[in-house]
Amino acid sequence: MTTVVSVHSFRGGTGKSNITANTAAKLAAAGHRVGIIDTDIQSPGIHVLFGFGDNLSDTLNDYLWGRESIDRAAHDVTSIVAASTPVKAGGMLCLVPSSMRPQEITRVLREGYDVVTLNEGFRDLARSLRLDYLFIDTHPGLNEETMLSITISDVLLLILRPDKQDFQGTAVTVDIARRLAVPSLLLVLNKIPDAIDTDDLLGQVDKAYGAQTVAALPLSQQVVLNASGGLFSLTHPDHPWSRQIDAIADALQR
Amino acid sequence: MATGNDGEPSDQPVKRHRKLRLNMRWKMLAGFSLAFTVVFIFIALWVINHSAANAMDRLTAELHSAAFGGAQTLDDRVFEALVTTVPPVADPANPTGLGYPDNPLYTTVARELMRIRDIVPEALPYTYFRDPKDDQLYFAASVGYLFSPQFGATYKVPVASVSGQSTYDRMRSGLTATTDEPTYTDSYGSWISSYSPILDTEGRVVGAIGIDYPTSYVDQTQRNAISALVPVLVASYLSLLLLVLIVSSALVRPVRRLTAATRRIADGEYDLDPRSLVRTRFPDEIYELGQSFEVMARKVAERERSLTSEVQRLRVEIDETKRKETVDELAGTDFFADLVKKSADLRARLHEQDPPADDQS
Repeated sequence: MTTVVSVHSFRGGTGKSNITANTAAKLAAAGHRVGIIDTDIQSPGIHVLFGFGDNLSDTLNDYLWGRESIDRAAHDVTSIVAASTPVKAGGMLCLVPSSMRPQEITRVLREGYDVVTLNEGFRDLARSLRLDYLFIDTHPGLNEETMLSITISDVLLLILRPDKQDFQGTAVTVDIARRLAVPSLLLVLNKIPDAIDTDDLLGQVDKAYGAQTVAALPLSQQVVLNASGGLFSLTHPDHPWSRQIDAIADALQR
Repeated sequence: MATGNDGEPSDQPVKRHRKLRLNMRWKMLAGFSLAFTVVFIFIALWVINHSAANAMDRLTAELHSAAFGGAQTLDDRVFEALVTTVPPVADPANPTGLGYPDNPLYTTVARELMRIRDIVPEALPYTYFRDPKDDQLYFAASVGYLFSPQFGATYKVPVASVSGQSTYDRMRSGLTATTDEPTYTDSYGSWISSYSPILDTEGRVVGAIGIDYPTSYVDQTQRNAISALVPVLVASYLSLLLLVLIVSSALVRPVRRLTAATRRIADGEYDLDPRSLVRTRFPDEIYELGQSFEVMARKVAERERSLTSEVQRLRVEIDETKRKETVDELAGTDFFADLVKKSADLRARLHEQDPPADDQS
C-alpha cells in the first residue's frame, strides 16, 4: 500500500522542495519505491534538484490537459540518487515535474485544472509504479488543490520556519488538517539559526500545535550555498542538516 | 535533537594523560645546570691534573740537577777516605744495630750534603757505595745524622736491608749515571728519588749521592690548585644559574600573560589591553605573538557581537482570534464541506488494492 505524504507549508521559501527531494531520495536509497509529484504548478522548482533544465517535456501539465498518461510524465531519477549513495535493491525514485514553460503556467493560472483528475493521477501513479511512498510537493498556502492533497494524504508533513507569520499560518493549516481527519500530522522546523535554543523552541511548538515535531533543521550556510546544486543530504551525509533529513525519513518509515 | 553545532563546547581543555607539570623555568634551570656541571667538572679535572703533572715534572728535574750537582761538588777524596778507613759502629738503640761514627770525615760529608737541602729544602740527601768485597751497596753518610738521627740511614747499613728491589736496582745504576726513580711508596711515605755517581779526578766511581723527596709536596700543590679553583667555579656556576633564572623568567612572563588572556577570552572577556599582553622595548617573536593574539581577540569579539545581535527571544505566539477567523473562512466553503464529506472515501479510493479496468491507461 502506498503511503501518501503531502509536504506543505503556509508560505513559500520554507525549503519544502529541498526537504521533499532529500527525504524521498533517502527512502529510495533505503530500498523503497518512491514517487514525487510537483503540484506546485504555479511556481515549480523541485526538478532542478534532480538536474533537469527548464524546457522539460512530459510533465504533470501534459497529464492534466489529457495529453498523456501520468506514468509517461514520471521521470526515473534513481540514477541521480545512485550517483551519490548506494541504493538498496528494489529502491526506486521517480519524479513527475511541473512544466516550467510560461504558457503552461499561465494556462493553469487562467483556466485552473480539475482537482479530481489530479487525484486520479495520484492513484494511477501509485498503482502503476507500485509505490511505497508518494510525495506531493504542494503549492504554499491553502487553496482547493492543496486542501485536496491534504485530504488524500496519509501523512501531512508541515514545514515551518521559526518566525511569527509561519507560526500563525501553520496553526491554521493544523486546524484544517484536523478537520479533514488527516491520519498523521508531522511538523518539521527548518532554517533554525544557530543562536536559537532549539530545545526551548521545540517545547513551545509542541505546546502550541499539539503535534509531533519530527525534525529541526539548522539554518546552514553550506546548505544555502549548495542551493539547487543537488541532493545535499546524499553528498554530505554527516552534516547536522542531513541528520535531520534522516530523522524525517525514519519517522515516515515507522 | 541536533542543532547546528557539530561539537560539544567545553570549558576544560581536552583531557590529557596525567603528567607531572614542570615549570618551563625549572626545565631550563635543570638543563643548563646539567650542562654547566659537566663542563665545570671537565675544567676542574683538567686544571688539577695539569697542575699536578706540571709540579711533578718540575720537581723531578730539580731533583735530578740537585743530585748531579751534589755529586759534582762533593769532595771525592774525603768520601773515599770515609768509606775505606772508618769502620761501622754498633748502636743497639737503632733497629739496624748500627749507628753514626763520631768521625770528622763523616761530619764533613754530612755537612756537604746539608748544603743540598739549602737548595731543595724538603730533600733528604745521603751517600752510598759499592763494597768490592761482596759487591753489595752500603749507605755511607746521611744528612739525617744532622737533623733527625732516628730517621737517617746509619753508616754502612746494607742498602738491601732497607730498600725494595727496584729501588736497589736504580741505586745501583745511579753508580754509573744520574738516575731518576718515579713515585714509590715505602713504610715512611711516598717518594721520588734521584741518584748520581761521585767520581774522583780520574773518573772512577767512588760512590753515589741519593736524594729522596716526599711527594706530599705534589699533593699539596694539587690541594692548593683545588682550593684556588673551587671558589671561582662555584661563583661562576651560581652566577650562570642566576642568569638562566632571569632569562627564563623573562621568557615565561609574557607566556603566562598570554595564557591568562586566553582564559579571559574563553570566559568571554575580549577587552584585552594589547600593552598589558607583551611589553618590550625591542619587539621579538613573543611580542608579535601577543600582537596577533590581541588581533584575534578583537575579531572573535566582533564576530560574537554580530552573532548575539541576531539572537532574538523566539516566542511561538499565535493570535487565536485570527486563527479561528481564518479557519472558519476556509472551512466555510461548499468545496470544503464536500471535501470533508468525501475525505474518507478519497483516501480509500487511493488505496484500493485492485485497480478497476478503466483506470489502466
